[in-house]
Amino acid sequence: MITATQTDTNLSLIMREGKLNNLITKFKYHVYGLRRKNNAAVCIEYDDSYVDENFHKKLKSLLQFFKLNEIDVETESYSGKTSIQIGLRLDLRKILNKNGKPLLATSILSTIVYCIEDRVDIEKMKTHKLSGIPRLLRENDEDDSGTPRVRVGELCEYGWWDATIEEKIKTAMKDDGSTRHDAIIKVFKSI
Amino acid sequence: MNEKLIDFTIGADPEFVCVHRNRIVAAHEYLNCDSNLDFGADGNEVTFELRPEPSKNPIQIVNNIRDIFVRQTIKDPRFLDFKWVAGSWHKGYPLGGHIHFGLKNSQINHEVAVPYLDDYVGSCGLLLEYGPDARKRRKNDDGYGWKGGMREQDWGFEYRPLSSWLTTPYVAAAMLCLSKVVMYEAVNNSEFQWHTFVVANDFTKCNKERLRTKFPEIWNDITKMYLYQTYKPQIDLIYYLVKNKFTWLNENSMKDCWGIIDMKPAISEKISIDFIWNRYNLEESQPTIPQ
Repeated sequence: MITATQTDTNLSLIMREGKLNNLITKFKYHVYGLRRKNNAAVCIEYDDSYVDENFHKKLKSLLQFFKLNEIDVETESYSGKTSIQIGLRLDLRKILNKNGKPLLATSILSTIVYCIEDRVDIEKMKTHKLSGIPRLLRENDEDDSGTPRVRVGELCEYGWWDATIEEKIKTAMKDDGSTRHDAIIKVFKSI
Repeated sequence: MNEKLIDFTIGADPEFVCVHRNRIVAAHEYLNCDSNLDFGADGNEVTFELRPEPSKNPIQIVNNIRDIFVRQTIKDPRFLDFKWVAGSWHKGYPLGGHIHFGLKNSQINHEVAVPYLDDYVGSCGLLLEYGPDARKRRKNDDGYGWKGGMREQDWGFEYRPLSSWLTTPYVAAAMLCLSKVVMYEAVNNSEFQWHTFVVANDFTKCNKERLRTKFPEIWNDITKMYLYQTYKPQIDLIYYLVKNKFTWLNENSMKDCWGIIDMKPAISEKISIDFIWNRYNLEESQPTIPQ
């Protein structure tokens, strides 16, 4: 089952266009809206205790597909939730075609869901190049000190993210009261 | 109705048992007894317990329950081989259908709210139960299923006298909708004329004959409630069943009633990435990015 926050701009329309409201799924999904422009265009949150053993393989292909097509996706593990949460940024949800339909957001969402559900060929997907995808830039891709923003999705993709790192980040946040972003940088500098 | 209306979520944790070759299937043998999971085990580790996501819309909870069944049978198809049983009691195991209300004491005093639920929801629930099983569920002195059964929770309170109404999605919808209607009236209509119909013995002895004489008045009050018209198609099933002296158990299996079959064909059909992006590619000549 896929649920969506009904009050978020265009989400009901996106779900309807993708015929996702009644899709039978192995996992539970919730789709919500992201407002701030310094978020990635798409955010996928999950918890390792909820997903299956092939999940990371599928996620890796999904991230490769989005990278190839320059769609900015971030992932977050350890969500602590018993569902997969998918966030879609406001500017992405507002892109409508000439018939007033949010087909870009619909196609992105469908790709994520069908991939996690094992219903698309993940090998073919990795090299599938789309055309006519508008660039959805993130605001403030660098922080004030000029340090590039750390993208958890990329770290996952290269296998640099695991439970011990998450623990270290939490400890760093607790110890010096720094933000998550600063804590991530501190942990990675120390490795 | 009061000037400022309060809406609230409702939820539930109904139970059922699975039977295989005349033997009760113990939940802990099949599940990780993690209380966070939506398909879990009750504290006795034998009965199964569903924890659907709460919602302001009671019909959404019925959808959520079916979704839990669907996902569980996809995950573990052995459940399709079992017979699923809800109701009041089965082979030594009492089955509850607790309903949760996301209302704080500051919104409505829980001690005040529960008698309303006993008179209008608990009474209807009892009239739909199979008498001998209803008595077995309540025969112990532990207060399980008794009048006024309630547990305070961080998010509100849990109404506990009802037996498991999971027998069919129609009965589930009727009981959840009725609960919403009654509590909505209690929270939002300080002038509603409430009446007292049930006594403690009605629950412990499952005194259906006495309750049946009160039913016309109970129903008359229910139909005057503000949200009754909204949920009339669901709630009127209760009137039909009580008037015809039916119980909420029906002759078909619970699994069939919920439409749970092998879903593999529905989830295994592959689709191509081209198919997903086809409409975008065809219709998207020049996308407009709003400023």
